[in-house]
Amino acid sequence: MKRWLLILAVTVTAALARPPSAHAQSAPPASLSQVEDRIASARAVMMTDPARAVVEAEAARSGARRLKGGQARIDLATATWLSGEAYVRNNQLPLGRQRIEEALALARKAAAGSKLNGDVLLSRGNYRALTADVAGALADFQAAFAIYRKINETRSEAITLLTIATLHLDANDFKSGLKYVDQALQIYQGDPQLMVSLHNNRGDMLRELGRYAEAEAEFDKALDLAHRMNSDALILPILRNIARNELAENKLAEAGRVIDEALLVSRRLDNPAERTKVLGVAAQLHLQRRELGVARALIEEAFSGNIARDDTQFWQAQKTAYEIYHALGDDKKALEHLEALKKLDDETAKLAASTNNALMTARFDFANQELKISRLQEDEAKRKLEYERSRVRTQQAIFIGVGVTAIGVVAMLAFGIVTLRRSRNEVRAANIDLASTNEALGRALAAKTEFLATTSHEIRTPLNGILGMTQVMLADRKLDPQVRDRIGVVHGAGISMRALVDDILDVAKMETGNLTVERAPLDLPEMLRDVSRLWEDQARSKGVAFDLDLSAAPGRIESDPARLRQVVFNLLSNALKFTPSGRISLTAGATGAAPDERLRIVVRDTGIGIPAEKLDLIFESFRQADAGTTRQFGGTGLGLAICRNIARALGGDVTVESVVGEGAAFTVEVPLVRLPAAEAAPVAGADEPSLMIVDRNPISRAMLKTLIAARLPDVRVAGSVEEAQAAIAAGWVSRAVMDEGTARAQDDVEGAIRALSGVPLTLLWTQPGEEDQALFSRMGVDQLVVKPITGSALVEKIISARPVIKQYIASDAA
Amino acid sequence: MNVLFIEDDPMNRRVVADMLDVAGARLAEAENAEIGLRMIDAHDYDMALVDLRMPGMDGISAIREIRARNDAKANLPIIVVTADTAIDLRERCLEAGANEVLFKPVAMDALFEAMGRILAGRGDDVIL
Repeated sequence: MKRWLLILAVTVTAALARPPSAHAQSAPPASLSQVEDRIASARAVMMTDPARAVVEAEAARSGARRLKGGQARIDLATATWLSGEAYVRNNQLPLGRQRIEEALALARKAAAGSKLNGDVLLSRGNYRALTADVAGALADFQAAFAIYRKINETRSEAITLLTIATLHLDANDFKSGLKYVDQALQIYQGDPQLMVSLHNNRGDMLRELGRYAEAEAEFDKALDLAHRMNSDALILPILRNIARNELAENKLAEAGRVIDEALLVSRRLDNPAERTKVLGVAAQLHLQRRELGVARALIEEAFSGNIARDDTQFWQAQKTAYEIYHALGDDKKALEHLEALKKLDDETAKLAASTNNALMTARFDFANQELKISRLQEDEAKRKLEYERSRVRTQQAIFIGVGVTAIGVVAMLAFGIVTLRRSRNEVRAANIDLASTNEALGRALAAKTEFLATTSHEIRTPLNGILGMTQVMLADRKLDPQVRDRIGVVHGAGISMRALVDDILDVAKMETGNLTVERAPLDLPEMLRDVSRLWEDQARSKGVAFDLDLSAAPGRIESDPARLRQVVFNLLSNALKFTPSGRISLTAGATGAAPDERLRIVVRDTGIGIPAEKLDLIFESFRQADAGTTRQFGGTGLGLAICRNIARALGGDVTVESVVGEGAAFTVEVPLVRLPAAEAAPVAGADEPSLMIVDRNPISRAMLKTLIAARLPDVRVAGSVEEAQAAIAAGWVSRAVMDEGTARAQDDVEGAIRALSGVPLTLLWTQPGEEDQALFSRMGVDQLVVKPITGSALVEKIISARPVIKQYIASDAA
Repeated sequence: MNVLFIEDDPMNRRVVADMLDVAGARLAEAENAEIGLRMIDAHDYDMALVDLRMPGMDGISAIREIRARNDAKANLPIIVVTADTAIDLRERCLEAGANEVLFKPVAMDALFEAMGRILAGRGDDVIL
């Protein structure tokens, strides 16, 4: 992992460093140029002082937020990205992730397909690689590469390829790594810092493959450049690499000269970790010379510094120490270092295995997906013309995609087994233009997304027919109850199917790295109460108790309201599904202190529980703890995968604790951003009755509601006289407004008016005759508004009548 | 109320026609955007519903054509009704000039709600 970090540091310096500019100011930036100054400052101190970079980037962010226009939006995205990078460098990973995700959403909105968009993707990929999400990282790197290629950003292309190469390096797949570095060198030969990194990495991989002479040539090139840049920090690791290469070839004299130079540089540099590593190589030289006394003195000095011994970067030094003590017969000391070595070995092996696995999985998933696509595509082949066109495009991509996958697998097998035929295989591999392979991979991924979008479209269309017609039928008040019940079942099934299609689409977005989150103000208790309401009834009807505890919940926060709601919704749905009896509880609170304060939402149930060994599995797509679960409880097994992905996109995570037979507790934790409480809006509470619109026509009902709600805080609606009557009886209504059509829909107009007599009534009537007016007057109708009338005039009249004043407004239509 | 629906799928047209019938509105149907634009020329509608994926001119282009008109019909309220769920689709439609975007399967309540809301937004032009 350390090797990875080192390479990363070099590449990212190259990506971020810009000439330092305006000095840091304390006032928040108020103009575009001031914002851009702060952005430049953030870039300038990114490597040397990430904490300062956070401050600069955050200042630029708040400045850019207040400005309007396209450039301000791009600046906001840039500042957010830099802030994310700086947080990651400052080891504040959750905040870093949150900012990077935000930056990605902003960049896609402000400048999709731009260099900035690619840069942010690259950052997210790096972050994902750091947190062992290798498949996600690879997807991001591919996407970034595709963007750079399109806009011909060769330097960024090279950086991306180098980054992909280091992923393979982590997997101990040096051969693939080498190919990517080679391709990077073919594309770009500019920026010296990047060139140092490319040559150094190429040498590293060649040495690992036993091609020492070629490795040496690469290190020489790197060293030459590093000398010209006069950077000790770059020179030292290269010298060490050269020395190790010489030692591997047993060229002891040459190694000795290089080590002397390295020791000299390390004294100037004054970096304990680097010094330990150089001394380790020096000790190895003397070990190989069988000068055990000197070797021992050197290795003791190496480990005497103030360093963390269990760091993987000291693997080589630990190995040398073990060999020296072993040769000296000092078994106790030898064992000490052997144990340390074993620990580091396990760690690196684990990392290599998991990275390798993830890379393999990424490729195989891809292959499976392509097969599925082609099969389904064939079934649907005879559809419309446009569909036909997209099928042809997809199949082309599949053809190339399958080729790419095969190449990937062949390369891996070749590395493992056919070492003797290495050179021949390499000639063949070298002939493959990796640029076009990469492009093909990108195309095939796009085809997969397109396929999912098409399928989703194709399912939604018939579903529209089913749900549309059930809604129309259920809207018929005269429907026979038994028939209504049956249509209700069809409708319910359609709704479930729609949820399923939505879930699949969400998973597709996640796989292609397109799941983005937004930031908006959210009344958390209100949202949680609202979600609970949906599940409370279902729990009750199942005989399961439902507790909602919001006593410690934060009030107004900043988050993605729809996505956070989706998480809680899925967790509650899940809890209810697996809880045959007992209780379900939803609790919200906060942990930690600002600025690392976190929102914690816990959904606890007394259901069947999850076996310990399945706890990780349940968060994977299409996985439930037990295949039988699907048959017994239904569901797609997508809900929890979606929850986890959303929570992570929000900068947090979902975790689970469970005891089989006793229940489970799912905990969502995301960074908490509190907002000041909203200004007390004059919202009528449950105790203040409101105006009620009684209109059986849903369109004019919605229209009236919008018109009046713009002027009055709380407006209720009813679709029928009966509905309105119930609300009046419950004391929820202070005034009713009824339309002529609704009154006439009753058998007698008089009865309809009488039904609403509990509150002052406004009637909307077209050209009322004299006896109509007499009737209204006799029945105590409070206000009569004659139609036709313009919307605004109507609202004025209703509002002016709101304090209960008797008034008849006859024939004054606008 | 007279509503025009530009949509190539006859079943979807039928569904929306039946839905609007519940609300007492009449639906005129156009099976592609070219026909739809000609119908707007010839008649006065209170609102247009537009699908996106159609043979020939697509929905977004049709919306742009309507908004580019030189007469009052340029302000015709437009709701996009689509089964597409591409990212940023909503923004793209709103940018082209749609008043609202609804995704299939369309919830009847949501359709009426959107229609009422858009009609109310026309201020003094609303006649009840």
